[in-house]
Amino acid sequence: MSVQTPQHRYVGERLVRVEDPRLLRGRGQYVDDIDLPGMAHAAFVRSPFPHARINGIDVEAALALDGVFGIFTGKDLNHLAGPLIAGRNDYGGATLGSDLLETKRQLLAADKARHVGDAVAVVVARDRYLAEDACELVHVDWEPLPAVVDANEALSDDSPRVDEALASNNIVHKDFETGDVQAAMDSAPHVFRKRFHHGRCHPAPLEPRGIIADWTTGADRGVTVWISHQMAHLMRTYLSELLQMPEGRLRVIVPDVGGGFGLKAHLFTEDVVIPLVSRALDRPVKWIEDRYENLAASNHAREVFCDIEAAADDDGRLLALRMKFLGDVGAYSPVPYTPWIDVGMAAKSMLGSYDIDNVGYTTDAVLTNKCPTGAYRGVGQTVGQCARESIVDDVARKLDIDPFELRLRNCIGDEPRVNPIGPHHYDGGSYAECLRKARDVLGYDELRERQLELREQGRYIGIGICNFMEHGAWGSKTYRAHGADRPFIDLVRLTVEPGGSVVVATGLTPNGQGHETTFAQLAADALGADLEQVRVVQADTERTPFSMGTRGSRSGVVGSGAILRAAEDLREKMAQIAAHQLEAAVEDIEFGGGKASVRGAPSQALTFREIAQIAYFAPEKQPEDIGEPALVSTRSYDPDPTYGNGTVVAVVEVDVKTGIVKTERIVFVEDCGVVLNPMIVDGQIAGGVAQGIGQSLLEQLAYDVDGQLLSGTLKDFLYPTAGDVPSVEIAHVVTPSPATTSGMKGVAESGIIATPAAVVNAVADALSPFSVEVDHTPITPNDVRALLRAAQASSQAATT
Amino acid sequence: MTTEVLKVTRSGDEGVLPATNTRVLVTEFEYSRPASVEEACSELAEHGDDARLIAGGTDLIVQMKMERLSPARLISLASVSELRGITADDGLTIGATTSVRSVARSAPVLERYTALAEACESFSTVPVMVMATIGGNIRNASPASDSAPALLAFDAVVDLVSKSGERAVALSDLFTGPGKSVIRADELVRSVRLPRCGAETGSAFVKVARVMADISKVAAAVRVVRDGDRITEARIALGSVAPTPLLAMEAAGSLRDKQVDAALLDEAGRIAASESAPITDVRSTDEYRRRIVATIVRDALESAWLRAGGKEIS
Repeated sequence: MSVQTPQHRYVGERLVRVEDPRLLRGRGQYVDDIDLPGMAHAAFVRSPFPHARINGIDVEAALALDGVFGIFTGKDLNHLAGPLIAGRNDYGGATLGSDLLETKRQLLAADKARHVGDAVAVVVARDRYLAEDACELVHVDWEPLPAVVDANEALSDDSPRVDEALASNNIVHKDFETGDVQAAMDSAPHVFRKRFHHGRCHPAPLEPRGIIADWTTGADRGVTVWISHQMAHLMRTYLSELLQMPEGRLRVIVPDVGGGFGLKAHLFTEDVVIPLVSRALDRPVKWIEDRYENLAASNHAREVFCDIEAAADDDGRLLALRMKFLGDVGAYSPVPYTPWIDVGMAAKSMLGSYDIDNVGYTTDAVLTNKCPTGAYRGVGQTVGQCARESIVDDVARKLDIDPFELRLRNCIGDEPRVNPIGPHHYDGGSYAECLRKARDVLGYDELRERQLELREQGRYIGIGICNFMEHGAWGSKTYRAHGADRPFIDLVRLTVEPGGSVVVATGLTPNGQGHETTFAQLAADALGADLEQVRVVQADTERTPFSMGTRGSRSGVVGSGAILRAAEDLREKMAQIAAHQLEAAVEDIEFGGGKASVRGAPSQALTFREIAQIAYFAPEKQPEDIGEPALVSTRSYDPDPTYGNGTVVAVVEVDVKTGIVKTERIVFVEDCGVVLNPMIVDGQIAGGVAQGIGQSLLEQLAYDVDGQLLSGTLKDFLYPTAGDVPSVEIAHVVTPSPATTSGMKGVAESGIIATPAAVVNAVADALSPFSVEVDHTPITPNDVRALLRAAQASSQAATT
Repeated sequence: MTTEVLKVTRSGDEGVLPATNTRVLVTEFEYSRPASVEEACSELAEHGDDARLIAGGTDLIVQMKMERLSPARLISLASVSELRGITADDGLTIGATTSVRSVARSAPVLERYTALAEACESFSTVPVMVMATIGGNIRNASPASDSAPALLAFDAVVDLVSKSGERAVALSDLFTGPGKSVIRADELVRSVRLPRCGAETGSAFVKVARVMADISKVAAAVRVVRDGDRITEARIALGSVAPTPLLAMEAAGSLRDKQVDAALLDEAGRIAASESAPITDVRSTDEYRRRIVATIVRDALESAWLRAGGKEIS
C-alpha cells in the first residue's frame, strides 16, 4: 500500500513564529511567574573565597528570624542524595567524555569551598527578601586556602589540589594522530606556530536559572518540578535517580524559557537541593538565580589555551596541523557532560572543511578554583575554528597568498567523506561554494582596494574570514563518533483528535528555537493539514513522550524525522477510512487543505474531522481491515550526524588611536540543507553572530590573581548592545543532507561557532601593517593599544 | 551615574559578598514631596544630613541599593515645578530638575551649546536619560559625569538656595572629590546658568566607553571662540580622568591667540593628557586613559573649530 505524500505548503516558508505574540506581549509564563499556595523561597549562602576550608557554619542567628522556615547545610543534605558525578552513564546517556578522573560534587560544599560562589548553605523563608537577609546572618568559619588560578601552573606538581581526592588537577588527557605530523613538520618548507588563548565567557541568558519543587507525601506522594531547562525528560531521569523517586511519581514541567544556550542543559546541585528542602519543610519551594549567582556560580565556558602548529608548502598547501588544547575548566566537572567537552569539541572541529593529511591533537582539562565550565552554544567548536582560522590567516599573510585563495586551495570536495578526526562522516556540503559566495556578497576585490585607500588616510579596516562547519543533529551516531556509546531515544506523538485537530506532543524542550512554529509546519505538511489545525505540546514529562532534549542543534532534525514517520502512519490509517467511505482505492487518496480527497475528483473529499469522527465514534463506517482505528502514532528518530557549513566574513575598523574595534559588516553564508523556516534560521544566525561579537570583543569573566571574580555584574561582564552589532547580511546555499529524512542539518550554533574567528582575523588583518599578533579573546581597546605600542617600541629599537 | 568600582571582597577580608545594585532597598525611610523650593529648603534645614533630595533617582537609588547611603528621609522634587525647564535669554538657564533628555533635545542647546547636547545625548539609555536630571548629575559630583565636562567648557555657574539664602558658585569651583562638592547638606541646586555663546563659538563632546549606553572611560568637552584663523578663547574639560571633572587650563591656554593648524591641536591634546590624573579601574587602565585623552581632545578641538566656522585643518 502506498499513500501519497502531500505537497509542501509550509515547509520552507518564512512564517512568523506563532509563539511570538505571547512572548512579546508579556504573556509568556516563566518559572518565576508561577506562584503556588504556601510556597517558600530559597536563597543560597555562597563562598566569598576561591578556596577555603569550612571549619563550621553557625545558623542560629539566621534561624531566629521570624519567617525563616529552615536552613540546611551540607551536613543536613549531602547524605540524602548525590554526590553528582560527571561522565556516569546512569545519568541518562548524555555524557560525552570518558576515561577521566571522577570528581564528586556534594550538593552543598561541606569541607571546603572551591570557587567564589560555591554554595555552602540554603535558607528557606517566607519570601526571598527575608531569605537573603538570613543568608547574611549565617556565619561561616572560613579558613582561606591558596587558590589555583592559572591552568598552566595547576599542572605543576607543587600546585595545590582543587580536589584533594585526586592525584592531579589534570582530570583528562587524550590525544590523537593521523598520518605522521612530526615527519611532515620536519620536511615542510614553512612551519607556523602560535599560542591562542580563548577567553572565559558565559551564556548569560536573560532569564537566569530557576526551579520550583513541590514534594507531596502520603498515598499520592510525588514531586513536581517546574524548571527553566532544555531537557525535561532527562532532568526527570536525573532527579529520579538522585532522589530515589520512581519516574512515575516525578513530573518535570518546563514553562517558557528565556534563553538556555546550553547552560540549561545541565544538572546543577541546586536542582537537587530544592526538591529536598521542599520535602523537609513539606511545602513548595522556589529558587530563582540572581545575576550575581548566574555569573559567579552557574557555568562558565570556553577558557582554553591552544598551542597551534601548521606546516605548509610554498603554494600554501597545508601539510600538517597539530594543536594542543589546555582547558581551564574550573572547580568541578559539569554534569552530565564532563569538562572534556570544550577541549574535546575544539579538537574534533579543528580540521573542519580543510584537506590535510597529517593531523594531531592533545587535550587536557585542568581543575582550577574558578566557576566550573560547561556547555555553551557551539561548545568547543568556537575555540576550534578560532585556533585553525587564526593560523590559516598567519600562513596566508606570511606566504603572501590571498586568504580566500588559500582556503580554496585547501578545501575538501563537496561529496560526503570521512574526516579522520572524529571520525566524522561528513554528509556533503558546499565548502568552496560558500567561500566564493561570501566573496561575491562582500564585494571582496573592491573592499581590498578600499582598505588600501583608507590606510593612506590612517584608517585601518580589516577583513576576516572563517570557513566553518557545525556538528549538528546530535544523536547516538554523533556520540559514537566522539567515542561514547550512548543510545538516544526521542519520541514524538502525533494525534488527530475527534474534532480533526492535530496534536504534536514532544519532549524536545524549546528555549527560543520556535518549535511551536516549525513542528507545526512540518506536521501540517506531512499530514496535509492546515497550519491552524496543529497544536504543539511540549516540555512536560507527563504530557509528552521521552526525549533527550534540545541541544547540539538537534531538535529540528530529530523532531522532523519523528514527525514525518508518525505522519506516515496516520496518513495510512486516514487514507484507509477515507477510501472506504469514498469508495476509492487507498492509493488514490490525496491529502491537502485539511482534507482527504480522491485524486482527479476533488469534490470527493472528507475533512479531517469527518475522518476522525468515523475513527473514534462510527465503527460501522470503518473498513473491516482497519485494525486499531485510533489516529495516533508515537515514533522516534535517531539521525545520522549532520555537518552544516558556511563562510562568515567580518569587516571591522580599528581606530589605532583609541584601539576601539567597530564591527562594520558581517556577511554570513550558510548551508544547513533543506530550510524549514528561513526566518528562524536567520534569527538563529543573527543571535549567534551577536554572541560571537560579544565573545570576541567584550565578554570576559575576569579573576584577579587571588581567584576573586571581578565580573559579577552585567556592568563588568559586557554584552554587546544593539548599537555594537551591525545588521547581518545572510545568504543561503542549500545542499540537502543525505543523512536525514528531511534533508535538514542542524544550524542553531553556526553563528557563534564561526563569528569569533572571523572577528579575530579581521582585527589581525586591520593591524597587519603593524606586524602585531592577535592571539586571544576578547580583544579590548586596551589590548589593541598595547599591541601597537609594543610594535612601535620594537620597531624603534630596531632602527636605533 | 555611579562611578566607583563595585566593592570587591578580597581574600582575607571578612567573608561577605559585595553588595550589588541588583539588590532591593534594604532600609526604611520617610518620603516627602514638597510643593515649592521654599518648602524643600525648610525640610532640608530641619533634617540636614539625614535627608537626601531625590529627583530622577538614577544615582541615589543605586547608591542606596549598594548600601553606600541610607538616608532617613527622601525629599522628592517631583512636585516643585519651578525647578523644571530651560530659559534662553542672553545665555541659558536650565532648571535643576530638567531631564537630561530635555536638555539634549532643546533647540537652543542644540544650536548654541552643541557639546552639552552631545554630552546629554550620550547618557546611558533612554529610560535613564528621561529620569536623570541635570541638577542631580551636578550634585552627584561624579568624576565620570557626562554633563559636567560640557558644562565646565561653557563656564557654567550653579545657583544654590537654602533657607538661609542664595549663592552662585562657578562649576569650576564646585567639585572637591569623587561624590564631593562645596554644596552644603541644607542647600538645593536651583539651576545652572551658561553665559552667552555667539556664532563664532564652536564646541564638541567626545566620549569613549566600552559599549553603547555605558559610563565613560574617558570624556572630553571643548569650546573654542574663533577670530579669523585664530582661537581667541578655549576651554578643555575632561571626565573620568581625575577625582573630579577637570578643566585642562594649560592645554586651553596653549591655544589662545594662535593660528590653528594640526600641530597646534596635537600639542593641546598632549598637554591635556599631562594634566589628567586617571586611575585604573574595572573599565580601563590609567595608561590607556591618559593616552586616549590626547586623541579625543584633539578630535574634539577639530570638530569645535569647524563648528565655529574655522577652515578645514590639513
